Amino acid sequence: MDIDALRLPGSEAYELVDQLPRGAARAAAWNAYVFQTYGDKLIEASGPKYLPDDTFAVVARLFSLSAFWVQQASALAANPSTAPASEQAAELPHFHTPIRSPEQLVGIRETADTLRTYVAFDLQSLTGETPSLAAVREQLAGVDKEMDTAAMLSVERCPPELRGGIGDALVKAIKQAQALGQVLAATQTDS
Amino acid sequence: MDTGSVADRTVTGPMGSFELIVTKALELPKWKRDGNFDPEGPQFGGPEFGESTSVDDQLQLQLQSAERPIFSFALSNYIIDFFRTMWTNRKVTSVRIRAVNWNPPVESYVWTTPKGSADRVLEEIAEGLAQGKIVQPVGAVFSGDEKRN
Repeated sequence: MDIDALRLPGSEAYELVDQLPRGAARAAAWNAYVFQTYGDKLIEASGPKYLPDDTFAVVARLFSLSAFWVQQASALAANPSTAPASEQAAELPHFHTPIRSPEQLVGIRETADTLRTYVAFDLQSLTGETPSLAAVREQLAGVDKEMDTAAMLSVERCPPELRGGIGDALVKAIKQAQALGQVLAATQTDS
Repeated sequence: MDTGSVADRTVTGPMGSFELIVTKALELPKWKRDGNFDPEGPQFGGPEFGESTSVDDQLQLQLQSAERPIFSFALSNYIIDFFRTMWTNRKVTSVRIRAVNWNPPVESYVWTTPKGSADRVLEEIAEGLAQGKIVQPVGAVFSGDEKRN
């Protein structure tokens, strides 16, 4: 199966999330952005080789979810009364092997970095000081904490236990950043 | 911290007396068979090895003629990999800290941490055990417990 064919339907996610106004449609586009970024970063990190089986399975699922959320965002933008998708469709797919390879860890770390940067920038662009934004700032600190944990565990010639710990911390960071992005995308501001 | 030896430390707390052992976290090479293995090939007991068509006979031939060279080839590869791994592991970057209560049933808990955090993590583990807690220090991965009779 050609990975490029799988990635194409969701590739619109990168533009869509910035084009849509805050609300349900943008929140759906944010999910697409998360999945598409994760898939692309895993591919980039694997280099010009064939993808390992477990990476391929996750990447294929990520791109299929991204395509789904792009459709959902477009539908919500066209008709705000479109039925919302189930929360299950917003869950990150899991690897079916317990320990991440160094390449997979690079892809996961790059994803967490990218999402963290996006969320922090988006947060700065919001005006006003609502209780929800104060909570979001605290949650952003939670993302940073997970990324710090991963950085603390990262050493040369990492044994499998540490790679497992790094992977867990980074995936938590991605999940938290995804949840934060959801809140920000749906936040209505005074501006 | 000196690794590969028993830390000069025993901690006693509500959970019992635990010896703290610090070892290098080395990764042994994985066992793999020769990638060129082709059971159908004549050198591995294929058709050239006899007229017999019986599955049992074929299997016997393969065991006699094929597995031995494959095994010795794989073993020699493993030995080379083993020494290569030892060479690359000469500079230890992470350690395993094991807390063992030798009273039956033997109970042990394992943490893995980068070498730079080992002293702090060891302290936190010791303090936790002294208070009857299994702690999960930041910068360490807790691998769980093991009980043996």
